[in-house]
Amino acid sequence: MGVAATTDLYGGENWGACVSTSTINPSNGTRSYSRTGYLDPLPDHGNYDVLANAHVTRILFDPSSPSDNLTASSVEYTPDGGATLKTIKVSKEVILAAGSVGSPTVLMHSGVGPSDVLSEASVQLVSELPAVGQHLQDHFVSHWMGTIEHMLTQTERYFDL
Amino acid sequence: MYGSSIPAMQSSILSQIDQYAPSTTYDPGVIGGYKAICNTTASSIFPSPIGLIELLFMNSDGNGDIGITAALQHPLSQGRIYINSSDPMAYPVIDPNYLSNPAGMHPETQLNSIIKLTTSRCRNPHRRHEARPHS
Repeated sequence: MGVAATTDLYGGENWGACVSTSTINPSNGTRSYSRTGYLDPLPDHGNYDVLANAHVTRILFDPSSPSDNLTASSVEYTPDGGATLKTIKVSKEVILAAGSVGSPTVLMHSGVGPSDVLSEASVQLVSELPAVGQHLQDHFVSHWMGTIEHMLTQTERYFDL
Repeated sequence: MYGSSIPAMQSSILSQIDQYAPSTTYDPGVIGGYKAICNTTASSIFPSPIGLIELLFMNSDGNGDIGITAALQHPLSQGRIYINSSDPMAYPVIDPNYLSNPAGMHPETQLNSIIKLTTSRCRNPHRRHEARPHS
């Protein structure tokens, strides 16, 4: 087709043609995702806890820290879809990794974001950061699918189905 | 695939940067950020070997369908995420602002014709019936 093949699709120069990886565990054909790929093989030394089904609602900041250098004091979450709210105290740091949709949402509900959005949403402004939620780029995609007629499997060939 | 038309696309994007800066923010820093992204995309990325389009060829799924997807890698349209409620369980608003930059419309609207181009080169006689987008 005129496009040169690349040897390392996930390395530094990722242009060219290649067979991409799938999220399938090659040893047993099961679905591979973050839990099976990273957590399950680890021995449990008791140094981490995973809270499943916990929906983070806000990050709460220490009110005595200055607004241009806020310090997170706890993370608020709900284990039951919003009926109850619980908090976890932060002793070291919070890493917010909720994706392109989730991270700005959590920040804005925590009062960090553009002042016009927060006042419209009736969220108290904690720290004005107008770029939160901005520069969203989506891969614009066009898709074509075709059915193939007469796709013979091995079985069909042998038994002339 | 775009070859010689890159410099023309590049100059039209760069000359229209100010015109198509988004109106979704009050902050000049964010508008400056939009222009910086647009500038880098047009000046550094478009002429480089990096692909502008990602073509994904999908082997048959459970139905025996094959597929081709053309995905734009460096869209010039930028949208935003914001909230319109203080209820953290409410969905945020996603505004992708598609096709807001006409200079970027050239690759975006060409996606379908790119797919036709690649499928026409398939010599496989078993490929018959287009299931999506038309069926």
